[in-house]
Parts: sequence; C-alpha cells; structure tokens
Amino acid sequence: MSQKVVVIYGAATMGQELVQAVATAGCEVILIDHSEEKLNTGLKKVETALDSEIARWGLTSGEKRAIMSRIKGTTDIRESVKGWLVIETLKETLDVKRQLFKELDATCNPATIIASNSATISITEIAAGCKYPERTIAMHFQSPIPKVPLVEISRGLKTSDETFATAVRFAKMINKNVVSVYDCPGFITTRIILPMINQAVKVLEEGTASCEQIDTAMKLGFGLNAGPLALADKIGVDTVVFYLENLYGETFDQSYLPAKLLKKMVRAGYKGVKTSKGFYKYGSDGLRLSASGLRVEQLSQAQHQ
Amino acid sequence: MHGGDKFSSSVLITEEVKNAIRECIVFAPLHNPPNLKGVEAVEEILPKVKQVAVFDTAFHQTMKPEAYIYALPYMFYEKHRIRRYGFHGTSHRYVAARAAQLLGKPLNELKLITVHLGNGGSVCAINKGKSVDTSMGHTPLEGLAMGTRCGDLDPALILHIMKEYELTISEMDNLLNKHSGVLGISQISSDLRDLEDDWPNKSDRANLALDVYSHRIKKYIGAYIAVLNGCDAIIWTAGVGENSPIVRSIVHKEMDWLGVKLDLEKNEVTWRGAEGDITTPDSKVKVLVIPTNEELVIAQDTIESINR
Repeated sequence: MSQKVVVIYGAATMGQELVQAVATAGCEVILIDHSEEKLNTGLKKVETALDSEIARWGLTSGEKRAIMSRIKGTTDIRESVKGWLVIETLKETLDVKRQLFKELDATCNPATIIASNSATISITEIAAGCKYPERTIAMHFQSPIPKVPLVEISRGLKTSDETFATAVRFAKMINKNVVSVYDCPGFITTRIILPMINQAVKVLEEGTASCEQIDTAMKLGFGLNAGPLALADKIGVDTVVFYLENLYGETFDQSYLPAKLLKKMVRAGYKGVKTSKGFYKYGSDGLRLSASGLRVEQLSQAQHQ
Repeated sequence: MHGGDKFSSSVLITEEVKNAIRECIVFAPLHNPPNLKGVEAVEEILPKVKQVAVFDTAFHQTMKPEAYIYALPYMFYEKHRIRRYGFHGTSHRYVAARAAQLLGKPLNELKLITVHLGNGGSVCAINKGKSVDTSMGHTPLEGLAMGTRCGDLDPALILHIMKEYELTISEMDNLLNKHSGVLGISQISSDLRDLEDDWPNKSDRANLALDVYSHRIKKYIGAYIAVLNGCDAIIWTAGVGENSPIVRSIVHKEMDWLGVKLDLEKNEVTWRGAEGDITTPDSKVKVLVIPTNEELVIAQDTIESINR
C-alpha cells in the first residue's frame, strides 16, 4: 500500500474524469475496470480530455506527459491493495456497489479508505456487508470533475473521524472545496437539483413552455451555468430517473416521483448527450445542435417508429 | 523569495521575519511556501545555524510611487498592496556594481540600464546604484516577452479571450504564463537557442518571435533612458543576455541617435562567460556584457547580515 497511489474503480465517464482530476493534482492513479475494452476506452478518453485541455491552453504537452505517466490501468481487482484510497464510480445501484465494497473490504488492508461516488444511495447501506465499515465513506464528485471545485462528503453511521479527516485532506489536495453531511443520500446538490429537473420536465410535458424557453428562463433568471433540461441531458436522462427513484424510495417525498415524460424518454432511447438525443439533439462532438429542443409530440412518433 | 514591501535588504531570519514572509505568500504562492519549508527543515536539523533571507524584490524597494503605483483604484494598493515589486533584484544589483568597476567610476555617479534575460526577463533603470524602475510588476508576468510568458499586453485582451473561448481563470493563467512569449509566437520552442539556430533562415515565425522579443527590450531601454535622463551604460546579463549576440544586435541596431554604437565583432565574440564592452570607442553609451553572479551577492549579504 503506497501513500501516493489512489485506486479508481470503474472506467465510465465519472471514473475517467476522476482519474484526470486526481492525476493532474499530482497523485499516482490506478484505474480498474473488469472489462479490458472499457478500460482501454476509458484511458483513451482521459488522454483525449488532456489533449483538449492543451488545445484550450489549460495544459502544456510536457504537463500532459507527466500526468499520463502517473496513470495506470488494470482489469485485476487485486491491484486495489496498492492504494491507500479506493474510490468506486460504478452504476448507481445498491447491489452492484454493495458487492464491490464487500470484495474490496476483503482484499484491501484495513487501513485503506474505501469511498463511493454514489449520489443517491446511503453509504451505510453500501457498507453493510463490510467487516471494517469505519473506513468507508461517500465522496460525491460533480461532473465535469476536473472543472467543478466541489466534493460532497457523507459519513456513514460507522465512518470513523479519522477516515473523514483523511477524505477531507484528500479533497483539498486535489483542490476541491468540501461540504459534509451525515449519511444523507442525495447530499445537498442532488437533493435540491432533482426536483428542479423534475418540475422542468413537467412544465415541458404540460406544454407550458419549450425546452429552450425553460432553460433560458432558469439560466438567465438565476445565473445558472446550464438550464435544468440541458443539465438532465448531461447527467443522462436514465440516470436522472435512477436518482429520482432512489430518492423517492428513500424519502417518499412526492417531488421525487419521476415525471411520466422522463420514463417515456428513457424507453425511447432519449438518454441525453451520451445517446446524442435527449431534451436536445447533439452532434458527434457532443455539442448541442441549434433549434433541436424536444417537442413532446415528437416522442410519441418516435415510439411508433 | 518575495518580500513584498516589507524587506528592502537581506535579513537574518527570526520568527518575525518568518511571519512577514508568510504574509507575502499571497504575492508568490509558488516560491515562498517551499522556501519557508526549507528554512524550517534547516532549523530542525541544524538548530544553531543562522539563516539569512535574500529577496528578489528587495533591490527595487527604492522605486518611487510614480513607478510602482498602477493606475487602478487606489484602494487596491491600500488594502491589498497591489503595486509593482519587480524581480531579479539580486542580479540587477550585482551587474550594476560590477559595471561600475569595469567603467572605473563610482556607482553613485552612474546611470545604468540592466537587461537580465533568462527564461524570464526584466530590465531595470538604476540611478546612483538605486533601482528607479523595472519592467516586471506585481508578478513576473509583466514587461518583456519571455520564453513562455507574454509580458506587457492590452489588459482588455484577457477579458476578450476569456469570453470568446469561455476560458476559466486557471486556463487563462496557463495561456499567459506557459503558452505565450516566443513559444506562443514561433510555435517552435521557448528556448531562444532553437530560434537562433540557422538565423535568419530558420523560418519567418522564428524571426518574428526574435523580433518581437528584441523590440520589447529596445522599447524599455528607450523608456528608461528618458526616465533616467541619460545613460552611461547598458548591461546585458543572464542566460540569453550573456549568450545571444543576435538579440543584442537586433536591439542595438539603429540606436546611434541615443548614443549607442555596437562593435559587431566584439558583440559576436563576447559570450559563454566572457565579460566586456561591446561598443566602438566613440560610443557615448557603453554596452557591457557581464555574467551575473547572484550566488556571490547572496554570500556577501549573508556575511553582512550575520555580522550586523
């Protein structure tokens, strides 16, 4: 176990962004994914992201070389013993995360901190099968991780003060501000943003306003970087539904009951930027096409196609 | 180290001095913290050994307000000490003193302009041994075009570029500090030797980078001759200043009205540690190449501070 190496589990978007942020901050990183293909794609995407940083003058090519030299990838979960901190970024389902935590708990040295990037699942529940739950903690990073200077840290019922203090130190080391809560699925950001997205979808569904009008109003009216529908596309419409259902199950608060249109969109494959269509359409470069806002009637046609 | 406006000379390190250096971290977040760590490490290992702090900014503390105040709301100076500090002070001070020896005149009778060109670069106007004005500012980004730093530019461009390309503060910071200067113009290298290789036949862009680099130096020399109301000698020092006859020849070309006549042959052979005058005997203003020796100044300051 090296004091320097951070292990990141899961090579999807969040994993890639986390690898980039952590390696850029100067730490050594091991990225683990069970699928060789996903791992290679993930590593390639990290490199592409660094290249676009260079194109935006954010990095020099020398700095990129140094960052890439700090990143390693493997499909072997046993490599996680090399880290003093393991952060998982798997799919937002309890079973998957709980299973991984159990495995990590069994393989890693008891001093290793095991963190989950879960947005909506209780860390206490994820760590339920662990022999050493005091070293588990939730660290919720916001996408795009290299740009968002925030991490929300949630302590589980059994998380030790030492684990919490170390997580805070790590967050500061990678230049993130910390807000912390106690065992609170959804933290602050997800808890508050989801009802807004959900309401925005309902306003669209009712025909009160178009996608563009809704996003423009919220963006300019409240000084947001992105409107709620554009944000849902970025998060992934299916992920938004996942989050809502998880939080509804957790709180039984009506504001988390997913709008009908959201589920309809997921079934029709309108999952946001990653499928090139959601509330807006996107080009292959991931940039939004102009005047491409979803009209509700469009979707009923799509289903019939 | 960055001494802000708290230090105008080298000092023996005490708790008080350390606190003052700590207060200057905001001016030099990359330099002061590691230096302080070094000081503390030595204190731990060799508790009886005295330590001396030498500040790159100290020499320029003789500048008058008209030279160091920016034309911004005065509140920024009063509240945040935002002003010109200048850098490379140890080097400017050393070569000025050495120039007096070479010219055979007392330093306090001389008007000098010193040009320190390394990876970063700055020009200093020195009257009677005291810094009157210098090209680097609150940070080492102002003034000359450097290896990767832009130096002077229209500040509105920063706003314009950030808006147009939606850049974050750290991206813009990198653009100005690491992607600009002769590297930014030439897109070949930040190292002048690479641009001078086969000069002037390498490429138009390499020549342009050298011309922009040299033109900026010429402009500062002209300005400082006006500030000093005259000039006895111009001194070239540090990596590029000592070793680039090409830059020196571009800068001093057509400067005879100001009293500078370069001896092209002497210019060509004075490099790689050589010291000397590179002007013709009838040149009113002398141009000297003097290898800098910051280590010597640091050693002398240390002895002086300990004996004080």
